[in-house]
Amino acid sequence: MTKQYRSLIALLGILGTMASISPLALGVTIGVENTPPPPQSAPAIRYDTVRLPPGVQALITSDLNTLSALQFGPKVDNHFKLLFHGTTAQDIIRYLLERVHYVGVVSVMPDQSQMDPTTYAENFSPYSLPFYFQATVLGNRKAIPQVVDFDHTQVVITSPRVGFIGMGGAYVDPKTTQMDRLDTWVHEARHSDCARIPSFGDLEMIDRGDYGHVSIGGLSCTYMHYPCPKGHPLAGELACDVVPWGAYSVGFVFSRNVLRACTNCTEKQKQEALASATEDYSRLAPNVRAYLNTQSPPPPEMGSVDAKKVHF
Amino acid sequence: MRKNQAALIFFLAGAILWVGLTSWQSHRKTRTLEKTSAESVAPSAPSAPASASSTPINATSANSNPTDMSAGISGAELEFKMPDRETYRIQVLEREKQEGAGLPPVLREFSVRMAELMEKASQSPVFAAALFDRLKECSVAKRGETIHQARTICAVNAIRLGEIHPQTLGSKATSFREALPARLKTSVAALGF
Repeated sequence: MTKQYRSLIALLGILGTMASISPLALGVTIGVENTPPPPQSAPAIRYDTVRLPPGVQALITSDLNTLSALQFGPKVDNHFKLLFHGTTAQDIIRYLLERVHYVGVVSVMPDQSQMDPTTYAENFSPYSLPFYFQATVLGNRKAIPQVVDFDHTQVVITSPRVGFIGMGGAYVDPKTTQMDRLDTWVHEARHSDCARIPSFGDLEMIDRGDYGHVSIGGLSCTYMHYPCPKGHPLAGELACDVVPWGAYSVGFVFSRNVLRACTNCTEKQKQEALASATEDYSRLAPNVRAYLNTQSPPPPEMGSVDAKKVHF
Repeated sequence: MRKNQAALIFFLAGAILWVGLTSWQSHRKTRTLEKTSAESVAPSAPSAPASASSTPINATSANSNPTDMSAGISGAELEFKMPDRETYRIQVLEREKQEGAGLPPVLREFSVRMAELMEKASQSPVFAAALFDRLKECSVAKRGETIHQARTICAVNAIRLGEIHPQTLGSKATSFREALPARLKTSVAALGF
């Protein structure tokens, strides 16, 4: 074997090793389970290996690998840049990794032994708000936070940035499209954001589960959904957004850019993204739609496009 | 005897050469015709020749009447089922009971069919022209017949066909977009079109 060949093989070996240890290929790691990670903690996701069927983790890893391989060209719009702080798929991955730290299950069983077959995915962040209200605002020492069994330990939902996503059986439905699943990740990750602490009145209503009367400012903490208006197919359901840059807006911006600016997407992926985008758009209040039709961010009193701040 | 054998071999070799040359020439002639026909329809589409030849349309009609390019494409090839409003309503409500619900199946199936049609249309300007007309109809379907999402998908795809085949559909797509009903125009604009 000549020297050149040996050098070439060595170089290929190094490249192969680098590729195999990428965070997405590994699929995760972070430290203490039942202590919430500090905001903007290490970019990694931890999976519940005890409860998640093996196929779910493999599917998520495959989805995120597909996402990281997407290439966006010059048609990437301003909203994409504002939300993901960049113009590439890696910026979306970073956005996800800042907001999703634990992937567990949503279960109907008390011991969380089985995934709820009808659930798709759920971010548990909004559960942190009643606890914050009781424990911090009212000073109730007996307040009990939401605790979720995870792996061989537990995760305590004390802040939106705990970033716990519970998966359900519907996520792995073979009929669900990949772009729909990716849209869901971008959507669910947004619920880990809290632009500002809700007012006392809003927190009281959230504590009571009376989301329909929470102000826009209050909803922008975890970007909670709002009851859809009369005449909507989901009238009365907590399935619409009145806050700009909420979860449906972010999903919409992601899917719109896959359709418009992705340079290596297949036609199938673009059509899946188009369908997801139109569905996301149908969940937006007219004021929110108006912002998405311009390339400017909404005024600060309407919420923050850059909601990395978490106040608790 | 040896002379006869040599003559026979010479004859066979000649025959093989003749057959080979004839078939090569005929193949070349067909390819040139296909290329000319497709290029005249869409000079900017390098991938057009193979697909154009597979659609049942002859070069003359496509050249002489560019507005009638869809002639010869069967209705079945362009067929798609519009999402039914009531089915959508039931499915989206069912999905809502599932946390973080994804697309209702009726919309997902519609997008699958759209992908098939758009893939074919991106390869063939002839098919694209026929699909463009079909998408135009779908985008103005009555409110009771389908959902706004489906109309938006049809309108966006019609406009995209104009971008894919600017020579043949560019101006048609521009006029189509300008003439869209206000609500649809806003939804299409929000998607960046």
